[in-house]
Formats: sequence, C-alpha cells, structure tokens
Amino acid sequence: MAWKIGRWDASCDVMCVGSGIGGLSAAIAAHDAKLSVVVLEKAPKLGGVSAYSGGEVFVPNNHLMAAAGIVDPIEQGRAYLRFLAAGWADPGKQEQLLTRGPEIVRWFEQRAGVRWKLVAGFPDYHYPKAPGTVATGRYLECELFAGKSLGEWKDKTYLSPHMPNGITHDEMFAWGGFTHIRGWDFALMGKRFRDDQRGFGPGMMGWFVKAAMVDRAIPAHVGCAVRELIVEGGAVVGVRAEKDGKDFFVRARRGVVLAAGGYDWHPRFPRSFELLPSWGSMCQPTVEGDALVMATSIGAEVAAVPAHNLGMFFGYQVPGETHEGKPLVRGSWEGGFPHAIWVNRAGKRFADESFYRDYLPKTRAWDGVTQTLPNFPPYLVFDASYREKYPLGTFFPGQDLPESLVARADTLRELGEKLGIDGEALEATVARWNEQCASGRDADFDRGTYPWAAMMTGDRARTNPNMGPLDKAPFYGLPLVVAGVGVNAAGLRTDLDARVLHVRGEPIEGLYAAGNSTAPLDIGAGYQSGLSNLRGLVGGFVAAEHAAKR
Amino acid sequence: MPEVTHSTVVGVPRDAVWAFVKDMDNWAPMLTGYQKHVRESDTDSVWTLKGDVGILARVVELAAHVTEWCGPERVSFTLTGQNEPVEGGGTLTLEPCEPSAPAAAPRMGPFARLLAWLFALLHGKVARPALAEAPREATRLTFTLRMDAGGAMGPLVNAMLAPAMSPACADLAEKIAAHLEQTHRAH
Repeated sequence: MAWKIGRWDASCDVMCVGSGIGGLSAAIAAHDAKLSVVVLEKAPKLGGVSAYSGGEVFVPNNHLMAAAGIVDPIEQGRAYLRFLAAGWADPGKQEQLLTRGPEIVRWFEQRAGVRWKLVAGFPDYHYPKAPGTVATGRYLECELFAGKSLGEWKDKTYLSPHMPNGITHDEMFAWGGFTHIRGWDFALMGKRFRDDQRGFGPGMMGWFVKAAMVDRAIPAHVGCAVRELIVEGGAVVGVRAEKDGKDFFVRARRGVVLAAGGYDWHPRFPRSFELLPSWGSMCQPTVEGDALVMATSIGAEVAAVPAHNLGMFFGYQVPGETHEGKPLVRGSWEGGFPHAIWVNRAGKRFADESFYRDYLPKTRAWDGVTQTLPNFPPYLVFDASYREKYPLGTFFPGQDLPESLVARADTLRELGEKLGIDGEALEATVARWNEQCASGRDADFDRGTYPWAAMMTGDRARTNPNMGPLDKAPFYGLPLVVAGVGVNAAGLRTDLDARVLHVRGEPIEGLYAAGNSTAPLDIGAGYQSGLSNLRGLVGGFVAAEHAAKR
Repeated sequence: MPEVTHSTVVGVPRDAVWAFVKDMDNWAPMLTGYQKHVRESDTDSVWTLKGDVGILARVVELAAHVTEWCGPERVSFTLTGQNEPVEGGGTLTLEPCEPSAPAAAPRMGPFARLLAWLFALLHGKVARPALAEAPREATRLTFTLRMDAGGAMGPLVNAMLAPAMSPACADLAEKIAAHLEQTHRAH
C-alpha cells in the first residue's frame, strides 16, 4: 500500500461501498443528515444485486397496508419472523427490522420520493401454515420508474437479465403468472421497453439512484473497486480504491459503509460457508465477497446462520448465455409447474417442488451412511404437455430447446439413462405422481398447498395449480445447478447501529456494513423474499444515523 | 419491424471493396457476437451469433440466403432464425463517391496512438486512423439490416432488438472500412 498519513486524494464524511439498496439507503440518509457522501461501485453500473432482484421489500405492518385497511398488528409480524428465524436470529436485530422497517420505508417515500405500492393479493411464503402469516399486504414494490429521469445514469444503472421488463407484479399475476406466458401483453411490454419504463428490481433501484445521484447529486464512481480499509488508531478512516488500474485514497471522516453484497463469485467462500460442492450465481460477477475480505483483514468477525434454508434457487446455464464475461445462470421455477417434477439420482421425488422453502434443505440433506448428498443435484423432468403449455426460462412453449441443455427421450426409462439416473425408478415415480395428479393431492409432499407457490409457479386454471401428470411423450430432463442470489449464510457481524464488530466483540470504529455483506442474524434460519431488500434498507439507514452522530 | 442503416465512406476503390466483401469469410468475424459460420453453397450459409438483448442473451443460428448477387454494386440477403422465431434480411451497397478530405486532426504522437489503441481495445470500437492524404478513389458502403421477431413475444423482442441493431450495423461497416483502408495503405 502506497498510502502515507495525510496523503488523501479525496475526502468525504461517509463512503458507501456498493450501490445496491443498502449502499444507497446509507448514502441518501447520510446526505439528508448534512453529511458529504461518496458512493464507490466496483461494477460498471449502479444498482447492485438489488437491481437484479424482484424488487420486493417485505414489511410487516407497513403504512400502505394500513391505508388499504389491512390490519397487521406488530405481534403478528413478530410471530412470523420468529417462525422464520427458528431460534437463529439475534432478537434485537430482528426486532429492529420489525419496528424500524415500516418507519424507514415510509421515510424514503416522504423524503426521497420512492413510490412504493402494495403487491396485491400476494401471500407470505408460509401462509396459511405458519403463525403470524397474512394473505396480502406485506410485500411492497415500486411503481414503474421512468429510466429517462436518470439523466447521465440512465445507461449506467442495471437492468436485470432475470426479471420481466417494464411490468409490475400485479400485471404479471393478472396475466396468469409464469405458466400463462402466452397470455402476457408483450405489445405493452415492448412499448414500455421503448419508453424505458422499469419495474421489479431495476425499477426499485431506478428510484433510489434518482434520489441519490440525480436529486441529491451524490457523487458516484462505477468501475471503482475498493480494495483495502485504512485504519488509524484502531478506527477506519478511509479506503484504498482502484480505478483504471490506479490506486486512489479516499478519507471518510465519519465512516465507511460496506454494502458490497455477498460472496457468490468468490472462488472459495461459497464452498466454505454454503456447504455445497459447487455454486453458481445469478448475481453480477463483481459480487466477490469484498466486504468480508476487507473487514476480516482488520479483525472483523464473521457470523453465519444455518445454510440450509436461505435465499437461493436451483437453475440452469443455457449454453452460450453470459453476462459480463461469466456464465449466466437462470433460476428455475419450473419444478412447480404442472407436468413437471424433480427427482434425485435414484429417480425419486424428495420434496415439494413448488415451494423452495421445502426443497432447499432437502436438496442439501446429507446421507451419513453413503457419505453423499443423495438429492444433489436435482433433476427437472417434464413431458410434452408441459412443452405445449409452459415456458422453460426464456424459451417459449413449443420452442426448440438446445440439445446441449435438455435431454429428450420417448420413454422415461430412456430419459433416465440419458440423464444418468435410475430409469426404472423414474418410471415408478412418475406412475405414482400421475396417480396422485388424478386425485389432485400429493400425499407424499403436499405440493400445491401454498398460495404463494400457486401464484409463482402454479397454473391457477387447474384444480391443484401445481399438479399435472407426466403422461405424454416425449419426455425431457436436465440436471440443475445452484443459482445463488447473493443471499448468503455468512457475513459480517454487526451491532444495532450497523457497526462491524471485531472478533473480540467491540465495534470497529468507523466501519459499518449493510445488506448482504452482513450475517443474516436479523432473519435467522429461514427466508422470505423481500427481507434482503428490507435488511439492506434498514442497515444502510441506521449506519448513516450513527455516522451522523459520531 | 426494426430496420437500421449505416453508411460510411471507405478510401478504397469499389472493386477492392467488392473483392473483400464478396467473400463472407473475410468479414464474418467482424460481426458483433460472431461465433461461427458454415458455408453451405455460394448463396447459403448458417451463422451462429451470440445476441444479448436484455433478458434474452442467446446464441442464435441464422440461415442466410443471398437473393441478389450484383457485384460490384450490391448484395441482398435474407435471414431466417433456425432456433428462434426471427426473420430478416439486408442489403450491402457499394457506390463510387468523391474521396473525403483527410481529417484535420493533428498527427498523433506515439502516446496518443497508444491511447487510441487502448480505447479501441477496451471499448470494442473501431478507431479509424485519419488518412495522411486524400485517397484518389473512394466508395460509399451502406449496410441496411432489418429483423423481425415473430411469435407472441415478438413485440417485446423487436423493441429490444431495435436499439441493439444500430450499433451492431455501424460497427460492422466501420470495421470493414478500417480494415480495407489499413490494408490498402499497406500496399
């Protein structure tokens, strides 16, 4: 490091490392607390993983619920979060999400012009089976955002390769969801694309980038990787960053906020912390665990929750598809569609394929007798009826599927051979599945009993939205790969002011962390979509509050 | 149906331009997203391109069929998607024209040339060096491309294709021009 005391290239009060919702929450809140702020983003565009997300923010007892006449007592939200945590959350941090979440969401609406709306009729994951769950109201998303209002940042703010362009959740569900792709209004979507109307994660981050970089003129630098924290007298006082191959040193008088996401693309961390033999990611390739690397280098503590049930998916990599030079992994919802199942190498089903809260831990299950992961990787199997009606990722119903991605056979036994799984068992599994489809009840795994799963992966025109037989040849199958979304099991341990804690227990002065850079001790062992964006929002905000008081 | 046109002046005689462009093997790798092409006859070939338009980042196979082979003035072709519901076509026209005056830009020193080369390398763009003197002959090269995505998603895909086609079309024309001027000068 070429830095010497006093040789700073620039200075500010608060430096935000990362431009997802955690970084920009901190940036906006710090700016409005009269602090000077700089945002440094390693990726070539702003928005972070939040811009690749569905743009959902899960907020029990939020103000828009109240305005819509939906009663959600705080005890109810607390009961659900405790259910999700299963004893693995820090109660104080969980309570902070619950109590400050609604307030902070409203702050951004009133002070920063972020236009939230309710996602209508979208139930909690575990509704109605878990305590404290509700049928609607807790998911917020943003109204469509006009990209042209981003000015110079218009083409430097991420769109998402994973989310539908220019629509809201309400529109997608009104058109029938993923299984009714033929009924989507693509003419409207084309018009919205031409008009640069953004929804889902890109829409949400459009609102935040506008509030930060356009309305407040907070300086941001893209393609600028922060490599090292600079410490004086035990406190973080600045950073060494790299841009265009050159070092530069920025002083941060009140603090550095690490909001650089998780570690999906780090060469070792996923294997070390996620306890799976291989890992793939839907995130930008710049999500390389930088926050962990830098903070642990100065003694920060890493904490973790059980990896078995966090936010991740399985998916596939369409040959030739890349983003920013790395393979593009697409998340798969198809296992919950009618006429599709998941099986393991033994050719057997092992979970409710429509509900990823069920299949994730079972996919990770370890067999201590055979010393294997018997359900890893899972295989997606479907039939010709599926192909006629439903999409596979961005491949439209009926469209040819690449042979290098999907195996095809006239019989299930032959398909099993092609996939390297037990074909005879696969035949028996499908026979049993087809019998159960006739009754509309999955006696083995209760598939099709979660309203959330019906909306996301079901065909709601069917009696059981998630069930349909595999009885029409040819049959298709493919092995699935891990599709991480940057919501990792491990991260930096922080206190209620978002200060990063040293491994000895005390806060590291001047160092904060928010969002996926932090250990998910506020949510514990379970997950619910929209919680990652909420914890980024809350973590960034409280970091700015504390920095303003230093 | 999205359609784009890009025109550029090449400081090279038309016959020399035609000699280059009539053989697709010469310029195929200059196409944005080019993966490979297989020549099946004098008029038919199959092109594999990697397209990246928003949520669709696909490897697309296109069957190209030459419908008009009118050298050294014009070649017209159709494109038919083999694995995607997309059709299109285009025309490449070559017209003799008045040579442009050499650019008035100051001569670049070694450092400036290095910077220009680095810029082109980093941004994938063609930096055509200014000609030291006006060429005696020049050719206007005009590339027109139209693509039309079919199927239910067509309106969305067409909206995504339109902004991607223009830079791809310009990039191909400029790369051909830069290559021809460089090689012609060397001779």
